[in-house]
Amino acid sequence: MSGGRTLTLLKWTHVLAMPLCAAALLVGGQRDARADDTQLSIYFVGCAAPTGFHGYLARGAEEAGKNLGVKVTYIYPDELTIPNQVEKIEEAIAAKANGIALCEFAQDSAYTEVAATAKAAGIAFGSAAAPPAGAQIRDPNDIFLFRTGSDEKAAGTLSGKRLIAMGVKGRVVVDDQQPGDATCRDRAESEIATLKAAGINADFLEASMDPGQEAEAVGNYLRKNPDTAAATSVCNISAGLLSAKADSGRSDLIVTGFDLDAQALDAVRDGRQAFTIDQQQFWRGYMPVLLLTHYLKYGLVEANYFLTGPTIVDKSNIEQVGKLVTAGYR
Amino acid sequence: MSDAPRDRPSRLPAGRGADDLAPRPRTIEPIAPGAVPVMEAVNVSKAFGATTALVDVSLKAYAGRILALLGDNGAGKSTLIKILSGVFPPDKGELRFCGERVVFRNPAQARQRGIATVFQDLAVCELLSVTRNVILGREPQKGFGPFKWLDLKRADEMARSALHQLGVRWERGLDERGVNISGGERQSLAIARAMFFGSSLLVLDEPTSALAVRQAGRVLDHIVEARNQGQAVILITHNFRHALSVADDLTVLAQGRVAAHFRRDEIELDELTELVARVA
Amino acid sequence: MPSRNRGAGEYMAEPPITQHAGAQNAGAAVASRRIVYGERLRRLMLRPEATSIAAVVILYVVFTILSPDLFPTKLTYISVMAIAAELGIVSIGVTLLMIGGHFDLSVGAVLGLTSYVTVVLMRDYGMPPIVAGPAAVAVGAVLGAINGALVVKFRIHSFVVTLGTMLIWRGVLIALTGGFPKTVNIPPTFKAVMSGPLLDGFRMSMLWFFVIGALGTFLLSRTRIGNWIQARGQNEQAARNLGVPVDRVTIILFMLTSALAAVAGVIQVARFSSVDALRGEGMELQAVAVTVIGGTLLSGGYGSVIGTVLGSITFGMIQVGLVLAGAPGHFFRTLTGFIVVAAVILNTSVARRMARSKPLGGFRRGSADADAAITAIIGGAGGSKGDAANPDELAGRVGVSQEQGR
Repeated sequence: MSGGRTLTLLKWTHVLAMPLCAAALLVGGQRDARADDTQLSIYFVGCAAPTGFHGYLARGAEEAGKNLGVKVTYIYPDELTIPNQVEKIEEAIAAKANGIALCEFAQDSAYTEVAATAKAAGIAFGSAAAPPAGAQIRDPNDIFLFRTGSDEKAAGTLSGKRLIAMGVKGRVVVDDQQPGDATCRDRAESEIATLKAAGINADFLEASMDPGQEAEAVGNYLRKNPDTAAATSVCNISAGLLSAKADSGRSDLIVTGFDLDAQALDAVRDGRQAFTIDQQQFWRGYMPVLLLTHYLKYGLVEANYFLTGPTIVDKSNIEQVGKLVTAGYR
Repeated sequence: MSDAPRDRPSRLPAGRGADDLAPRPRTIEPIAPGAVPVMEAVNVSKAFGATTALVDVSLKAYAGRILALLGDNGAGKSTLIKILSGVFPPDKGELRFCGERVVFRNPAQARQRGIATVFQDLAVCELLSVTRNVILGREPQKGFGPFKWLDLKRADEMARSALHQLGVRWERGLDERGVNISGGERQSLAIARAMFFGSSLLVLDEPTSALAVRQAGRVLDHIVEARNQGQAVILITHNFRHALSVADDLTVLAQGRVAAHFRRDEIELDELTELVARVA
Repeated sequence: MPSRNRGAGEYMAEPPITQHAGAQNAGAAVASRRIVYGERLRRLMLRPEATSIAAVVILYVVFTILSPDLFPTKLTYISVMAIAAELGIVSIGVTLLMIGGHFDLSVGAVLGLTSYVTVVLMRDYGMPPIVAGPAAVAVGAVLGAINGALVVKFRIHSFVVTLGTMLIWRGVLIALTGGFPKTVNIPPTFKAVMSGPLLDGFRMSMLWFFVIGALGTFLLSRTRIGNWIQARGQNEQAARNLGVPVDRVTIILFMLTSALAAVAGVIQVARFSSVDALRGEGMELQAVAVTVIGGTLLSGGYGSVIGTVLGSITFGMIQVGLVLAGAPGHFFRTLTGFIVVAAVILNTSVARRMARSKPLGGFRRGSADADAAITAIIGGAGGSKGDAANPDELAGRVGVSQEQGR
C-alpha cells in the first residue's frame, strides 16, 4: 500500500501521539456526554502510530469525525503484523463499534475471518487502501464495504504521463532507493511501462538509501547516457538525485519524485524539481469515516472504488500546497 | 649460555645433549638458615562453596631455588597458583612476600611486586612479532605529552637483551611471528620477558607438558638459567622426571593439602611415583 | 640439501642455495638474483594489503574492458573516491575494532543519529557548523562509549550488544524525524571544506579519508595502543595477564568507531544539506565487507587499515563500474554481492597459500640468511654477490643475536 515504505519505519510511539489521541478522545468524550446512543462510534484501525505519514490519516479521520458528528477512535498495533492488526480489529468489534475503517496492508485473505465476524456483529467494515489493480466497480461480495486509497501503480503511470506531456525526449532513469519495497517497485514499474509504451527509453536504476552512493550512481548513469532527459526518484528522498543533478552540471535535467516532504517542497519551489506525486493521504483518513457514516445513517454504498490519489504537485500549485503541508493537511 | 663462571652447577654436565632428561642425583645445597623466602604461603585455605580446594597449605619459595609443585588434577595446584598470582585472596592464611605480609586485590598488584605467572598456552600472541610479544604491556615509547609512539629500535634491543640474558639462542629474525615459533620457544620467550621486566618470582604452570622432548629440555635449561640468575621459581608440573631433573625442592599436594615436602636429594623417582600414587 | 621449492615453479631453473646448518654462515650463501627478488615478492604478498591491491587491479582491468571510453577517466576516479571516502571513514573504525576482536553493527545508525544532531544543532539552535560538527562527533563518541561499557561490563558479545544499540539508535532517529527528512541550510564554505570538489575535481572527503587512514595506520603499527589492540584481538587473556588494560582499549575502540561514523555523517550532512530517517542504513555491513576485502580477519587480531582503504576503493569501483558498464539496473546488488564474495575468496585463499608457501631457494621462512642475502644483493652496492660482507656485519645488520660460538 502507498506509504508502505514509511510503514516499516515507524515502530515507536511518538510523544505527539498522546495529545493527538487525547484530543480525539476529548472531542469524542464531549459528544458522548451529550448524545450517547445516537452518536456513531467509528474505529480507525491504523497501520502505525499516528505520526509522520500516518499522522495524516489520523488527522483526516479526526476532522471527518468532527465535521460529521461521529466519534472516531484511532487504534494501531505496536508492531505491524497481520495477527497484531487483526487483534486490534477484534478489539474494535468488542468495543461495539458501529463501523471500522482498516488501514489494509496485506492481502484480503488475511482479513476474511475477522470481516465475517464484524459482519455477523452488524458492524460496517471498510478498507482505507486502494482496490486491486483494474478493479473499478465494487464487487457486491467484497468483504469490505468500500475501498479508498491511493494506487501506486496509477501514481507511476501519472508520473510517466506527465513526463510525456512535458515533451521529454531521450531517456528517463527511474531510481529506486529501496529495491525491496513493494510501493517503490510498483511506482517504478508502472512509470517505466508508461514511458516505454510511448516510445521513450526508460531504465531502472537500483540505488540505496545512502545519498552519497545514490548521487554517484545517478551521476555515472548520466555520464554513460548523456541523452538522459529526466530522472525520477520513486522513494521519497531525492537528496541524492538533486545532488547528482547539481554536480553533473545538467541543470536541464528534469527531476521528479513522489510524496511531499520539506526537501521536495523546496526543490519544486525553486525549480530544481519539476513535480512530485501526492497521494493525498489526508483523504485516506477522511473518506473512510465519511463513507462509514453515510452508510450507517443513510445506507449509501459506493459503486466505484474511490481513489484518493495520485495527483500532481508542481510549480503551479506548490504555494498553496506548501501552506497546507505546514498545516498538516498535505 | 653466558660466559661468566657460575657458582651453581648447571643441570647437565657440559657436553651432554639436551635430550638427556634422566633424573640424576646431585648435590643440592640446603637452604641457608635465616634465609627469607621470596614468597611464602602460610596456612592458606580456600573453599568454593561446598568444595574445599586448599586446606592449610604452606610453602616457601626462595630466590635462586626451584620449587617443584606436584600433584594430580584436583589436588589444588591451580587454585594455589591463582592465589599466588593475585586472582583471588585465600579464605584463611596469608601470603608473605620477602617476609612481609601482602594482600593482592588483583593480579596487577601481584605483577607489580614482581610475581610473574606463565601459563602454558597464554604466553604468546601468535600474529605479533617476537619483539612485540616481548614488549607487550611495557612498550618503550618516544615523544612527549600525549603524542607518543613506539620506539621500535629500542624495542628490538630490549627483546634481544631479554632473550640474550636468559641464554635463549635466537637464530632467526625478531620479526618472526608468534605462530612460527615452537612451543618451547614460546615458553622461553615468556620467561625471558618476565625476567627482563624485573620479576623476582616465576610461577610456571606446566611449561613442558605440551612439548616434545628436545624442546622440553631447552625450556628446562632456561628455567635453570633463570634460577641461576637469582629468580625464585615455582614449577608446577605433572611430569616427575622433569621435576626431578631441575628442582631443588619438591612439594606434593594431594586433595588440597601438602602431602609431602622433600629436598631434591632426599628422594628418587620411584619413591616419588609411589608416594604420589598413594596419597592422590 | 634438497630444495623445498614448492609453488615457485619458474625459479626451479636456478640451482638452489646450499643450506648450511645453523646460522653461522649468514651472508656466505650465494643467492641468485631471481630467487631473492622472488623471495621479496613472496614476502610482500604475505602482507594483508597485497590481495586487496590485486582486487583493485583486477577490477580496474575488467571494468576498463567493459567500458573503455568511460571507465579509465578522471571523472570515474573522482566518483570512485567519493564513494570510497564516505564508506571508508566508517570502515576504518570498524577495521580497528575488528582487529581488536569486536564487531559494531550500530555504525550505520550512529551515522544517521549524529547527522540528525548536526542538523538540529544548526537549524534549531543556530549553531555554526564549526561547533555543530564536533558536537556531533562527540555525541558519536558517547554512543560508542555506551557500546563499549555494555560489552565490557556485562561481558556480552559485541555482536549482540551493537545489534541492540543499532535498533535503539535507529528507532530514536525514526521517532525524532517522524519518518520525514529534515533539511538545513549549509554555509557554502562548510560544504566545500567537508566535501567540495576542491582537489582538482576530487572531493575533500577523499582528503579526510586519507588523513584518517594514515592516522589509523600509524595508530595500529606505531603506537603502544596499536600493539594492545592487536594483542587483545589475538589473545585477550595473555594480554590481560601482561598488564594490558584490555577493557580500556575496548571502550576506546568503540568510541573511535562511532566517532568516525559521526565524521562521515557530518560530511554527508554538509554534502546533502539534509538528514532522513534511514540515513546510514546498511552501512555497517558494507563496512564489514570492505574490511574483510582489505585483509582483516573476522576472527580479529590481524588486519590492515591500508587494506581497508583499498577495500573501500574496490567497493567504489564496483559501484561505478557497474553503472558505466550498463549492467541491468535490477541486478546491481546481486552483482555487487558476487564481486564482494569473489574478492574475499581471492583474499583468503591467496593469503592461505602464501602463508603455507615455503621460501624460495631453500631459505627457511623469515630466516636471517634470506634477510642477509636480500640485503646483500639489493641493499648493497650491487657489486659481486656472495662475498658482499663479512658474516658479523651482516648478522649485525639483521639484528641476530650473536649466540653462536659461545
